[in-house]
Parts: sequence; C-alpha cells; structure tokens
Amino acid sequence: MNSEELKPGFQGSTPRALLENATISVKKEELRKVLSQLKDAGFDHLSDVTCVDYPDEREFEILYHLWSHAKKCRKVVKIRLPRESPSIESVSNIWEGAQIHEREICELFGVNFEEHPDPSPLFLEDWKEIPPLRKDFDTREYVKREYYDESSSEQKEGGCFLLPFGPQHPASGHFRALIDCAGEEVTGLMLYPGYLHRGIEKLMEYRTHEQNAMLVDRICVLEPYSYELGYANVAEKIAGVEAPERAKFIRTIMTELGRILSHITWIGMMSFALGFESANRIAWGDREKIIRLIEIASGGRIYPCHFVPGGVRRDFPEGFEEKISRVLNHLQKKLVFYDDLFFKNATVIKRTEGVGVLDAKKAVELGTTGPNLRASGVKSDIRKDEPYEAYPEVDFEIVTQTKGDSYARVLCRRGEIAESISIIKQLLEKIPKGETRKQLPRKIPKRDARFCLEAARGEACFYMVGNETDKPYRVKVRGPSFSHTLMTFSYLAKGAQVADIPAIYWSLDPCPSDMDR
Amino acid sequence: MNLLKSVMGLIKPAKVIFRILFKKPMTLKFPSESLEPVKDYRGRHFLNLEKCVGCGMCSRVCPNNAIEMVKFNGKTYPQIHLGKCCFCGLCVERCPTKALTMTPEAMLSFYDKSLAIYGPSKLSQTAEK
Repeated sequence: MNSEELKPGFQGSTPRALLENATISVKKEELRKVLSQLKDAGFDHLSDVTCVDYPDEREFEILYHLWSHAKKCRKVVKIRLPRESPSIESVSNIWEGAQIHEREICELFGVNFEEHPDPSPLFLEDWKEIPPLRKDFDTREYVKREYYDESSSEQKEGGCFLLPFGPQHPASGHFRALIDCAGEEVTGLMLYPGYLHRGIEKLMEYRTHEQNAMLVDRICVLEPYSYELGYANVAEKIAGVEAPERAKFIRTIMTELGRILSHITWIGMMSFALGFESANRIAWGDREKIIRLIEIASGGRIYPCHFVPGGVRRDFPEGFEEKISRVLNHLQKKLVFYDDLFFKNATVIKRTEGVGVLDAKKAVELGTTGPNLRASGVKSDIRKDEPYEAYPEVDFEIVTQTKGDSYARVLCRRGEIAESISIIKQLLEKIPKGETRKQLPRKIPKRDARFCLEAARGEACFYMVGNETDKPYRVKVRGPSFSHTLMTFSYLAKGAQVADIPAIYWSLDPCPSDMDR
Repeated sequence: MNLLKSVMGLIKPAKVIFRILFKKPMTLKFPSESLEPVKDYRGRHFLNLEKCVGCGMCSRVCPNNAIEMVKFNGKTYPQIHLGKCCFCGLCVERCPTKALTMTPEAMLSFYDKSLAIYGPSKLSQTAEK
C-alpha cells in the first residue's frame, strides 16, 4: 500500500490501514507523523532501525521495526531515500532509544538524520573512506591497502573531572567511557564503543549460509547459541524451509543451556564488579560444567558451531541426556548455595538496592529488553509472546520484578536460571526421535525476513535480505547490549554516585561484543 | 529484626566460603595434569594421504581461507594454516572421501607463525602420545 491511501485518515485517530498491515511504506514527509501515530496506537517499543543499500536502484531503504508490548505484535515501517543526498528526520524525539540506532546508520551508511541530538561517529575513528556498510565499499580491498594504518586517538574536553572507565577487560568489557564527575556525582558520560567492532554484518555479505553459521558465534562470546539459533532461523524463514522437529528440540535445549551459562558467568562478573572475588571464582567453576556439556555435544568449547540453517550439525551423543540432567541437578542444588553466597548477601543487597532505578515507561522508551525490562515490571518475553522453536511445548513463567533497581535485575536473573533448568527438564522428557538436518536450497530468494528471539540479555534480531545468490545481500543484527550499554547505562549513570557505576553497569549485563558486532 | 537480617546476611556468605576451604579444588594443576579432551573434539586436522583425492573442496568451503592446495609427492594436497583456522570443521564435513578428519589435539601454540602452517606431511602425522 502506498502513502496516498493513508492521507485521508491522518487527521484525528490512527487510520485503520496503518494498524492492519504488518509492513507499511511511507513517504519522507509523513514519517514522523506515521511513527508517532503508531506509538500512540500502542507500538511502544522501537526494536531496531535498519538500513539497506540498493545502489542499482540508487536508493537506501530504512526500516523501523516496532513491537507492541501490550498487543504482542510487530510492525515494520519502510521508507526509501535517494542515495545521492540521503537525509531523513530523526525520530529520537518520539523514541529516545532511536538515537543510538540512527547514529550507527549515520556512521556506517552516511545517512543524515536531521535534528539528531548527537550525530558524532560511534565506532570508527578518523574514517576517511566512504561509509563502510555501503555496497560500493570493498572490505577486502581496504584491508589490503590499510592493514597497518596507524590509528590516532583524540580525547574530548570534559567538564569538572574526567574519570576513565574501561577498556581494561575485567572492569567493563572492551568498552570505554569517560565519566564526567563533580565530586562523587556523575554529571555526564562520553561513550567510546567500537573496540570489538569487527563489521560482522559486512563480513556476512561475503560468505555463504554454511560459512556464516560459523561466523555468528563470534557475535557474543558468552552465549553463542542464541545467535546461532537466530541466524539459522532467519535463513530457514527466508528459504521457506522448516527444521526437523528433533533439531528444534536440540536447539532449544542447547540455547537454554547457553542462557544458564551466560547468567552464571554474569554472577561471576557482577560479584567481581562489587569486589567479591570468591563468588567470581566459584561461579566460573560452575560455568566450566556447562562448557563441558557444550564441548561434548558440539566438539567446540566456547564457539560450538553447532546450529546450521536447516538443523544441527551433530545429534546428541549417546547418554548425553543423562549428563545434562546430572549437571542440572547439580546447578539446582548450587542455586541454594548461591542464595547464601550472593543473592541474599547483605553486602550485595546494600550495594545494589535502590541503585540505578529504571521505571517501566522509561525502560521501554530507551529500548531496554530482556531481564532488564522485566526487572522494571514489564511482562515481556519473546519466548512466550512469539513462541519459536520448541518453546510452545513447554510451560514456564516469565520472571518479573517490580522495583527496577539493580537488585531487582539481580533477582530477575536468578529466577531465570531456575526457569531455564525447568524448561530443559521438560524438553528432555518430550524430545522426539528422527532426523536432525535438512538441506537448504543453495540460492537465497529475493525477499527479506526477520527473526527475533529472546537471548539471555534481551531481544536479539536478525534481518536478512536475499538476492538470488548464495550469499545474503544484507544481514542486520540487533544485539540487546547495543541499547543497554549505550542508552540505558548512560541514562542510569547520570546523577549516580561514581562508586555505583560498576553495580549499575554489570546489573545490566552488557556484552561489548554483541554491542559492537 | 532488620539488624539481625543484615548480620545473618554477612555471616552466611562467610560460612559457605569457609566450608569451601575443605573441598577439592575446582582447578587442575595445568601443565602436569589437564582435562581429558572429549571424543569428537574439533582439534588439529589429520589427513589421510591415501584417501585424499586433491579435489580442493575443503579449501573452497573454508570461511577463513586457511586452506591452500599445494603440490606434494606429485599430487595436490591441502595445507592448513592453523593460525587462520577457526576449527569449525566445515572442511571435514565437506570432504567427499573422508580423508580429512579432526583429532582431539588442542595444545597448539608455537613460537613462530610459520610453524602454524601444517603441510601435507605434518598433517598426516598422528598426535604424539
């Protein structure tokens, strides 16, 4: 449908056509109007903003992916821009969380966002070439030419006192921020992401499905399974193939193990940030037990390379189900131990209670998802709202908290570990027999598909465009930490005490590698 | 009541940590003892020179361009740069004659980059035990 048909209904209430179609195309002038109408109509979460380059048509396509927490449905708003002078109105006054997505597109595609609060570069330093995600930019040629180019670093001038945060790994992950503080109070924050920006989206354009499945692991080191699952699903969706039932169960079980793995690693990191190193060591010891399971199932420790579009590469080895049950029983016992050690520890409570309070409305506004959103009281979980893989078969609760402070986020993750254990136990009882892998057609059809899943940190999405070749034309990955670190963290940090920064930062469980991609 | 709760919240963590002192350590004394690799672990490759037909499928599917086809004893064989290899195992999956397999050998560190290039003769050696 085109924008002419929309016009009559524009005055007054939201036109019905806007609400009925899952995908709508609009003209440049109407963008803000349409988006604010959609927001009023209940599409309160801006999940992602994607840009696709079509040099042959001399156009950019920008997609706004919306989600309604109340109605549990999605909406895509598409807009086409001329490639010569791409300029569009910023929607950051409608969703505050949009500004970080727009800033990324501005940098990587060279699209100008009018009235954007801060269009400065995000990942690249001293970039003199054409924007790197455009189709006419050749990564291989560039790497050959500039591999050992010296990088220069410049520092911005701040206000009262600048306190560097990161990028030494154990404190912050590979992420750097300059904290502007007056005394003990944080007055401003300058973010310098990009230490782990590998341009995975561009690299995927050079690789086939099979090879990409090995690459998506690298998006997030701490829970590679969720991203493997996302890629496998989006590739299946675009090809119109469904994975065999047994493969779906295997993938769900392994992804849930990955969720526990990620949360246990987080217990370690959170306690490390609070200066409680004993808990860190103990948690990482338990992490090893799950890693061993992954090693047995897939043959790889940290990067399993287990799921491929069409199924899984390896079926469970013999006796593996019992091994999982044994580890799960151990973890269930260990959770009580962690309660005494960490979750009910008076020091932990003192450091996190009432710190970094995020109310539900602001959380949605900033694009927060996953456990961080649920800790603010919003009952939103993609596993329940849009069940994928084997999730329709299981019965589980969405863990929510109400207070929205760091301690609520801590408790939320504790609840999720327990829920994941119960999910895996249910799945192990129901797992069917049969084949585990289907072959996908070699060529990717000329259409687009999007798949969203609940990763351990929040909403992870894959958007793929095909072009009748064996390689994807464009892949966009939404990492949950992109919004969490760059929007939610900087919102919560402003006005907080310097000593609370690690507690706030790690309570959000950011992963710089899925932030930068 | 609140005070009692906070005091208990401090004593309990200390108690569980004290108990751990008498438990077996979670770590291993690495160089002298190490974790046994699992069956089917994706470690260093092994090439069966007799089975290999030199088709080059492995080099084409490699996502990192780590495999190069080289001449050896008058035939073409793969040569793997283990420094580039990501150990995904696609080459093994693709091999039509099952000549290329993976061994559980994971201790692969070298003092020189050039030592990480495994030619056909090195690939066809089994792990030293």
